[in-house]
Amino acid sequence: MNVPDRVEQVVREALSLAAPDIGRVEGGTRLASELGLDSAQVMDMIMEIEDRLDISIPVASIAGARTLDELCDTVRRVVSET
Amino acid sequence: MQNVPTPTDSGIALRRAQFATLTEALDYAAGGLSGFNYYNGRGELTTTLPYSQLRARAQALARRLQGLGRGARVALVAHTHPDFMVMFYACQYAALVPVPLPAAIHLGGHDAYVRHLRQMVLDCRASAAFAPGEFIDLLREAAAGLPIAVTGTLEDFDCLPDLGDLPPPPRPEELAYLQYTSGSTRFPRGTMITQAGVMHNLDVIFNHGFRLVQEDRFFSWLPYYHDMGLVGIVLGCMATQRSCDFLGSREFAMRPRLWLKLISQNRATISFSPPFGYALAARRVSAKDTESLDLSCWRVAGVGAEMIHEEWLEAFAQALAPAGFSRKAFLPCYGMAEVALAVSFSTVGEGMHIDYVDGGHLADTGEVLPLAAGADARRKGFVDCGAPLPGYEVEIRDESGSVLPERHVGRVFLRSPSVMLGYYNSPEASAEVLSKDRWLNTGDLGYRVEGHLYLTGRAKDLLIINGRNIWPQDLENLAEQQPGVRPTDASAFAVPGTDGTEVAVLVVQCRETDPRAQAELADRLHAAISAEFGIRCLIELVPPRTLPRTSSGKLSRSVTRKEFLERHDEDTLRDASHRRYLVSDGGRRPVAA
Repeated sequence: MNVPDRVEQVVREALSLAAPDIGRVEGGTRLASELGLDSAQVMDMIMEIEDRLDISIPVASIAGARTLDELCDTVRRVVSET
Repeated sequence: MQNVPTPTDSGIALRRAQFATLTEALDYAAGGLSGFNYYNGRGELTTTLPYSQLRARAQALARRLQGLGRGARVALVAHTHPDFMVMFYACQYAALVPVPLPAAIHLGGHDAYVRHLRQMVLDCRASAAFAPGEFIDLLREAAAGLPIAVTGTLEDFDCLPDLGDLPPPPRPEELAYLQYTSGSTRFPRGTMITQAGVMHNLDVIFNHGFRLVQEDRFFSWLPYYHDMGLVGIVLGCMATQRSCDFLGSREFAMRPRLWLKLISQNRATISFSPPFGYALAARRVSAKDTESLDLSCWRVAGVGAEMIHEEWLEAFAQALAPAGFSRKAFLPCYGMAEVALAVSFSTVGEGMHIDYVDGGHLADTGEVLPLAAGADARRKGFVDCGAPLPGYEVEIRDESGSVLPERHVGRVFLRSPSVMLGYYNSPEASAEVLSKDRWLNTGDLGYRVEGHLYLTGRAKDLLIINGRNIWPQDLENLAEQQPGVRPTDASAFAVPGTDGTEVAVLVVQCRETDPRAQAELADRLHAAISAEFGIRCLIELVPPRTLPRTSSGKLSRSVTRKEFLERHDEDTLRDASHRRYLVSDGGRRPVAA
């Protein structure tokens, strides 16, 4: 049923590139606080997402993205507006 | 087509910031061809804003803003965007006081950012508030319910009625801006800098700190809400008619190579960064990248804003030497928002000079003894930050206030025409750092040799992580808001990390002995800290009554820090940076035989 879409695949790939040692991440996992991503890793992840999807994610839009699912939603919004 | 950046040669005679006010400076710059250029994350030029256009747009907007009343504060979310420039300089022509506010958001940091923004909008009693489009919803949320006449984007302000002729321009003794770089998130402090103050600082920076020439061009990714970005670039480039190419701070953090590419492409001669920026770029650049770069044009690579790590700069110089970068271009400097920007610069073209001293003797006596070359475990190095700029008086004082001789470490006190009037609306906080005869207590520790300043640390408890100032009180407050944690149960400080960085540590007295409850507390703390500050913090849970107090019953951060370092050896700390938290019995580890 829950087949990850292209955005989720990209976000997961970007996340594992930015933070190679993390294990399985659930949709509700809080990225910064639970996974302990620091700001440099967050930047790496966002860059990967931007490059792979050829989009530009506005600075302010990541404010509401605490979890993996929320980040995917943010990215989907940017994709649909591009 | 807007695909050509403004030229390096302004076409008018170079005047190095010798103007009475910012409007006078922009009136002059507008007669030339130079200006600001904005690049996106792909390295493409998106907007050019020549000073002639900036002045025309700022004056037109000022006619609509003047109704806010002379001296009224206008909060500006300082995202790297041309609309910020137009608003900032419109405030100048309307004799209003612009207040740049941070535009830094962390992943999931929505609530913390809105709260922080609201604190500052309240503190400066803003009459109007501006944000570029992508920040406007956050600003509206932050300003909800506050008595603010207009909250909006540039388009909203453009819809205000035109009230006709501009008011008399700002006088030298009027405020040029408020800057909120100092202070904690709960108790923000806005430095009040006058037109005369900032113009004096810019004058000595660009005539004496590093004397500009007509061929100089700037490149900057520094945030506009930081003193180096705001005063050095937004004001400094304009006041010297220099063209500057901008890359957003976040775009730089994601793609540091763009910094180098654009310098190389546009033949920029001057660019500043905190040390972490050089470290980030050095890590990302490959041998292949350097082939396409020519950085021989880069004559001033300024370094400031946090303690300077020799190794970081050295790594950068080595990585970029094949691209023609010279380590002699490094220009260490010292400054702070409380004096507008700069206190001192080392000597242009000489690179970084380091004073190697006997660290043991320094720790024991406070005296700085030079150490002969050669490996020595006690050896410590401090960077020469140069002689104070003209107009500065500098004193190094001991705890009792007596002035210390050269080569003795004490608190750095300053006096100059650019020292702030105080913190806005905070007489107590102002009196803590500013004496009646206008000596500023910088809170920094340092010493002098032959008049040159060397900074050794901070007397105040400020943490500086990746160039960002974080007050320990803010971290402690986050802990004390957790259920089961009481006031004075937490103490925050920084310890040296493995690679020259600083690592934030938060020690929390915890009554929970159940490991699951401890893990939950640590998780909540990590969540709060990352949302508020975007940093990783090492959390240590200790039993009640572990934290040391002074004789007057106050918590002592310095003793907590000392005991923390005694409890853990280096291996534990290195290991701990990968862990969520440490639990400790609060005792000291046995001293190794």
